[in-house]
Order: sequence, then structure tokens, then C-alpha cells
Amino acid sequence: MQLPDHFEFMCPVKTGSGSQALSHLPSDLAALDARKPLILTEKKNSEKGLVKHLVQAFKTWNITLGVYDGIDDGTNLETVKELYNLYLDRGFDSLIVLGNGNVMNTAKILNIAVSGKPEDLKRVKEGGTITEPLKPMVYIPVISGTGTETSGDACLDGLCVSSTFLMPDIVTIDPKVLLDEDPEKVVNTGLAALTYGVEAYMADDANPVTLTYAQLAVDFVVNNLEVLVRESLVARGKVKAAIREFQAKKERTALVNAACMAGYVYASTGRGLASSLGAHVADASGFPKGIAMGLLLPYAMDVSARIKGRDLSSLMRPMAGIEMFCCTPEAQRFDYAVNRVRLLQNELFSLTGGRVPRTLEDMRITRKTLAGIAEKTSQENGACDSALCLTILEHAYDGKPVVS
Amino acid sequence: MLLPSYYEYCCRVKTVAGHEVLERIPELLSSMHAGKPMIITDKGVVAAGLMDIVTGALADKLVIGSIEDDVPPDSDLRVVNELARKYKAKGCDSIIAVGGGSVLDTAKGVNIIVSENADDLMKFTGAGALKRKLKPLVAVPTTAGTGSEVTLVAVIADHEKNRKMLFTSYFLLPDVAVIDSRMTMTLPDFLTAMTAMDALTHAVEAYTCLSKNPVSDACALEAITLISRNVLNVVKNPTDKDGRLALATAATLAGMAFSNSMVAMVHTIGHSVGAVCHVPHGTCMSILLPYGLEYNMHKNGEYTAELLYAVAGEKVFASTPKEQRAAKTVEYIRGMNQALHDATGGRHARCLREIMGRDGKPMVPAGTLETIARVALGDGSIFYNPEDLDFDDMMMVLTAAWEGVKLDQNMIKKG
Amino acid sequence: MNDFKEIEPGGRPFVRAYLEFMLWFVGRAIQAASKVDDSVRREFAELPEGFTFALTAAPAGPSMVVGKDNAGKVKYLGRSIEGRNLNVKMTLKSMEGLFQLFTFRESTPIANARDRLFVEGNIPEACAAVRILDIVQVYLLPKPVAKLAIKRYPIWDLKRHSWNRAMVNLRAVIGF
Repeated sequence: MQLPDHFEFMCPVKTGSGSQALSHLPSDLAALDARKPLILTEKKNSEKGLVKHLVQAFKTWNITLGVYDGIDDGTNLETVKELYNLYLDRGFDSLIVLGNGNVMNTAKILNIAVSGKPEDLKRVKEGGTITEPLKPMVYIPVISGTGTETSGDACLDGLCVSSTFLMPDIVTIDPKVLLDEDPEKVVNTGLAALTYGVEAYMADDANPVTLTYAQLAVDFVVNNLEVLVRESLVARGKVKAAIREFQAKKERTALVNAACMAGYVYASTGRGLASSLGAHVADASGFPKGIAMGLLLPYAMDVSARIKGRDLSSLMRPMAGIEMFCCTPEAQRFDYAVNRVRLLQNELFSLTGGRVPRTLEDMRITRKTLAGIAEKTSQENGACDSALCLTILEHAYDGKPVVS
Repeated sequence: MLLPSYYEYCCRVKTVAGHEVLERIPELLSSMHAGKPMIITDKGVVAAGLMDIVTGALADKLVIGSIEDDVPPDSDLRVVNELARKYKAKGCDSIIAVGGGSVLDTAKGVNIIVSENADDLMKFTGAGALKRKLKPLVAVPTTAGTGSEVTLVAVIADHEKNRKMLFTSYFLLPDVAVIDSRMTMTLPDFLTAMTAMDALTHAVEAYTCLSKNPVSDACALEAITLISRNVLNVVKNPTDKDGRLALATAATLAGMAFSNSMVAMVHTIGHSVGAVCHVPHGTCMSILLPYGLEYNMHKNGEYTAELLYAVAGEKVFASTPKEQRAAKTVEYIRGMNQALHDATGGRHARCLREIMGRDGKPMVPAGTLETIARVALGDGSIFYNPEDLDFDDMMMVLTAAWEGVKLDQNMIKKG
Repeated sequence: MNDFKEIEPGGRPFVRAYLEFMLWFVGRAIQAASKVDDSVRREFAELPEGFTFALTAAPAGPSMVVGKDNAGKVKYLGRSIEGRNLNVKMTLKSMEGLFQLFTFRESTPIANARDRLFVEGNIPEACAAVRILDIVQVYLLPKPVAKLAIKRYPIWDLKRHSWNRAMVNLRAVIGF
């Protein structure tokens, strides 16, 4: 790999993943001088017993935990204000986020307020930047997510902020809290992670440091998503289900690792072609963002490799493993990689009875809206001129690979 | 990539790498509210003309609080205290460390004192002693080997009380590692070879030993690939700018890998050869690496086999039968040592008896091996080795490495 | 804020009791092995007078302390690390970690490799302590279990395997 003349990468997060991961939390928090954490989560997570697992990990530690499980899609800046008062009144000094998307967004915004002054939120809203590290924050993912939870992005109630200071200090991935979930949500997580991972390879400053995390995101999605969805749809008796659950925990752990790593990568490289376009396609179609991004990904890969001339052959390695990669002639490796993504999508389409679309036509977007989406995207993201964006969209509409 | 049943990974350091990235330092410091750094370095760095490049790059974009260039190779508490006093006297607000391991350890020590307003460093040894962020610290490595720009430990000797203080904390990590190809451009050929093999050893041990994890593995694979593709070329063409950047980046990647996955018996024995006979660290590493892989092969051969792809390339990997790949990896590493030996006119030693001191005498006489083995039994890196090693095992490895012959697989106790 | 509550996580009395017992037994077994086994005796002989070693879990135990008195005798020193000046302290980051160790679900080297414990104190002495623990585990555990707990199961002669093993266990039980 030819190194770029200048590249940068940072991931300030400590990741702990696997069996008994939660039991490491109290000592990890103590190392950050945090003694009274406030847990933020959703009702459904406390109902499923996930909060209990977390509380169990703090036994013998003589720490009082605060638990707020009222976060939902309606959570807004008013809620943040109430939580702000609660945090200060009760003397909390850190946040533990158990959940995904909106729970994490709320926590990030709340952390800005409790780390400085509440006016900081107003300042940030008016375009000010965060200049100091915030209070300790731990993220405990559940199986579904957006892939940007671990990044520096936060969006709540119309307030969108981005700063590396918003990345969590600790990410704790514990299979105990990774329960089975609606396949569509799992697919959304996986495809978002895959897209951010692959986009790091397509970025102008693609470099071996960023690609450490990116290759793992790609590897873990490609090698776990399909089997996870397929097996979750099989009906089983109690014993067989318990045996299957053992294996499923491993696959879910890998998938969530991918989602977290994708967030780290995204925080450094930002949006690429597929994710920029995907955001607008999601808005236009009502499909979740991850699924929209993933759908566009192979076409963006085509454009990057076949039109822009990027060498993406090394993407095959995390997908196929060292053995297959080495045995495949270099000139065939990109084809393998892009077809692997297409194959994955077609499989997911078949497994979910068409709920995961393969083409924009499957999404029931009309062809004439494509030009508008292309235009909007190119205005936002300078790297994508509107003709190129339209090429991607049109090919994705028909499911037709882009050739040079 | 293998996902172990539990792993942890953390590297909070921002990596900034390229051909002209020293110029980024003022901006990076200012984002941390700092603008008057103390530069800590050593006489070697100054003599190589590197300090002029650094000061030139910083130029008028910030106020240099002080330049301290007399960190000795075996820095100690006295130096740390003296620098901390100067830091306060001159009103500095951050530290730039330019150099190798000793400079960086010193800078970390200074940082503890000035950030915590401490008078006794000893209070901050041990786990969890540091609780908050220290002053901004920028590391500029000049050797492409140690990887200490991304490690969370510092060792500071107290020569008066004859003890070594070990500090371990995520707060000791530098904020930024600035990898600039100009900083290693003038490194002589044998040092280039030695430091590259040091970094290679970090990566190989991280990948093959007990604490391996997917992120470290990915770092290690990238590092090994970059080193094996570039080291010989750079030794032969020292001004190869891209090759220099590749080796420096690889050393940092290897540092990320081993600071999370730790190192094992190559370091266990290597540290001891260094301590007993004062052999440079990188030399011990390059000689002992093949032996570490051979000794553990019955436990971790599958990982060693995977490395063939990184050390020898895809074609060799594909054309080697699966069961021969681990041995082939070792053969390739020995081959690298041989090629570097030839390219440096014999200055890159292939076995312990070949290591010569400045006076032309052998540095590791055969009679010292027993002492080395005994010291090695007390080195903490042994915990991370896949297979156990007792005194006899150490002697077997040392004897073979002294002679420069392969380990006899039948002699290895497999429990 | 109807959705808010404060929770006191409490303790784990049964797990603590089990671990207290196991640590007590291992501590006395180390004391016994120092009298019965030559390798353990030699390891202790190399350690300084007054040497103390503790195995514990954060934040507040259970713990085990073993030491060598000024006459060179190895003694199990009880279950409190409070106020002791320890030469080597091995701390599991949580009681759960110690529980995994003593239910043989995870070996010491693996727990160490997985960042579940940390060692404080003089490193060469810590290495000696680990070697002693390894030998004692071979004495206390049946071979299949011991193989999970240590890296390499040693090749011992019959006397060491039978007579010494019986003596270590017996002495640990009656405590002399």
C-alpha cells in the first residue's frame, strides 16, 4: 500500500468486549475517578432485564447507581434539561449509556451540559465548538444501532453537534446484553457498519492506521450478519434454541464490535459517497439509513474503483480471509469484494422476504426523484459531484453494476 | 479475524503522519490550549540536525518555552526533577518529546510532576495512581522502532536509591504522535535495520502470544507487511522518503499492537541479554525472534503460519502448503536478518556470539548465558508467553541463539 | 422524573464465602508445600526475609496473604491485607474475576492476558510467586483440571505425585 503524504487518525475510546465485560466496568470507572454513574436507557431495556445485568456488575463495589429508563423517540431538549437538574442535584459524576441511537444522542448532549454550563448547549447550537474534555461516559451497546453511536456525532431534537470530545471514554460490549432483535434492525446495524468500514478504504487519505479498525468492521459484518439473520428465523425447540443461542452470542458480539469500530472510523474519515447519498435516500424512502447506505455501497465501490481508479483490491482480505485472498489473482480481488457485498444483500432480501431491498426500485422510490437527491448530496459533500452521484443512484435503481 | 472470548484495546493517541507534519504541532497544541512547550530531547538528536528541522517547522507559530537537550541514554529521577523545575521556572504549558525511549520516559516523568504539582514521583507508581489528564504531550519519534510514542508505561530509574520506578496509566499516553519522515531520514543503515527488526518483533509477538486481540492483530499485520516490504530497500537507499515513512508508521502500529497485546519470551530473554551484557535492545530482538516462534510453535503455530502472508507476500503464502507455513515464516525472518547482515557489511548480527562491542570484543561471552537465563526468570513478559519456560528451557534457547542454529523441536518440552 | 430510581447493588455473600474458603485452603497449601516440595522450598529460599504476597480482588477482597517470617518459615498470614506492607500484590479487577479463577473457568495466565488482573510490586518476586502458585495448583487439582489452570503440566516422579501430594493436602487441612 502506498501511504498518503499526510494522514491522521484518532480513537480515544477504550474498548472491552466479550465474556464478563461488564464486570470490568467498576474498576474502569474508578480509573477515570468516577464514583457515581447515572445509567441512561430505554424502558424496553429495563423490562428485558438488561439493567439487572449491569447492576449485578456493581455488586460489592459500594456504589449507588442512578437509573433513568425513560428515553424514547420523543426525548427532546426538555428531557435533557430535566436530566441536567437530576444529574447535578444527586451528585452524579459520569454517564453509562445502555442502548442505541437516541439514548446515545441524549447522553452526548446531556454530557455537554453537565460538563460545563447549561449555556454551552446554546453556544454549541449557534455553531460554537467543544474545547474541553467532557465528563466520563461509558457506552454499552445493544444489538441494534446506527453505527455512529461511538463517533463524535450527536443529533437530538434538531440540535446536531460533532466533536471528538463526544466519543465515549469506554465501550463495553457484553454478550449478556446482546439479545435477539428484529432482523431488519440487525441488518440496519450491520450494513451501516459495513458502509463506514468500506468507505475508509475509498477515502482519499486511506492509510494503514485507519484501516486497522475499518478492516475489522468489514470482516465482522461480512462473516456474521447473514448467518445471524438466517438462524434467527429458524424455529427450534428449547434445547436446540439454547445451543444456538450460545453461538448466536458470539456472532452478535462480532457484529456489535463491527458497529463500534465503524463509528471510530467514521469519526476520522467522515461520510463517503454511499453514506452521504444513503442519508437522503433514507429520507426519501422511509427506509432506515443503514439499509439505504448499504444498498448504495456496491455502486459507490464500482465508481471508486472503476471510474476514479482507486485500488480497492485489499478489501477482499477481511471479507474472504487470508487464505482465499492470497490464492486469488490480484486483478480479481476487487470483483470478489464488490460481488460479496451484492451477494450479501441479495441473501438478506431473500431471507427477509423482501423487507431488505436490493435496489432503489425495491424501495419504491420513483426514478424522477433521483436527480434531486444527487443534487442535494453533491451540495453537501464536495467529494461527490452531482453527475457521479446520479450515476450511482441510477445504477442502484436498476441493480446494474457500474462499469468503466 | 479471531475474536477472543474477552479482549481490551485502547490507544488514545492521535496519530499524525506524513512527510511534512511537524508543521501541524502548533495547531495541535493550540487545540489543547497550549502554546509554550518545553522541548525535551538528547544530544544525538541535536547532532543529527533534527532539532533544526523541528524548530524550523514550529518557527514563529508558537513560543518555544525551552529546549532541553541533555537527556542521557539512561535517564533518571535527577534529570526528571531538574527538567520539571525548569518547566515551572520558564512558565511552559506543554511538552514536546523528540527522540527515542529514554527521552519519552523522561518527558512522561516530567509531565507527572508538573501536572500533579508533585514533589515525590514514587507516589504515582502502581496501578490507578494517576486519576486525571496531564499536560499536553506531543511525541516525535526519531528511531522508528520502540513505539514508545503510543505506550502507556514509563520506567524511570532512581540511581541514588538504586531502584527503578514503573508507571502505568492511560494518562501517560502522549496526546499526539507526530510521525515525520524527516526525523528518521539520517538514521544509519545498521540502526535502521535494528530498529525495524525491533518493531517487527513487537508486532510478531503481539500477534502470536496470549493477549492477542483483533485490533492489535490488525495493527500487527499492517506493521509486519510495511516492514518486510520496505526495510531492505531503505537500508540500501537511505533517502527513500516513502520507505522511511512506511517504517516509521509501522513502528507506531507495532507499538499500538504490543502496548495492548504485550510481548513475550523474545522480550523476556532479550531484556535479560540487554541487562546483563548491555547489548542494544533491537539487536537482541532480531536475533531471538525466530527462536521465540520456534519454541512456541506447538502452541501458536497457526498464528505464525498466518504471518507468512505478511512477511513473505501473497504469492509465497499461496504456494506454501498449509502445514509448512509456520516454519517458512521463521525461515523468512532468518532470511531478513541475513539480508540485513549482508547489506550493513556485517554490522547487523545474526546470532549472540556475533555481537561485537566498540572495542571489537564479543559482548555476549558464552559464560554469561546462565546469568542471563536466571535474570530472565524474573521478567514479567514471561506471563504472556504461550508455553512455560523454566531455567533449562531458557538455556536451550540461549545456547541455540548464541550458536546461531535452529531450535531442535524434539528438545522442547510439550507437557 | 418518574422513570428515575436509585439502586444499591449490594454484595455477593455466597460467592464471597466460597472464595474465602478456597483462598484459605490455597494459603495453607502454600505453607504446606514449602515444607514438602523441594522446588517450592527453593523458590522461597531465594525470596527475601519478611517477604509477603497477597492474592485479592477489587474493591475489598476476599484476600489471602502468605509470607516468610524472619526465621525463613513460610506461613499463611490470614485473609486481611489491611495495614500490611506487601512485596507482591496480585489483584483481580472484580470478585467475578476471582470467582472465574477458582471455578476453573479461566486460568491465571488467561485472566492476565485478558486484562482481568494486575500485579503490583517487585516483578522478579511476582514471577516466583506465580511459579509457586503453579506448583501448588498441580498438588491440589486433579490433572484434567490442573491442565486448564497452568500452561504446561509438569512431568513429576511418582513420589512427588503421590506422597508429596497427600502430604500437601493433609497439612493444608490440619494446618501445620
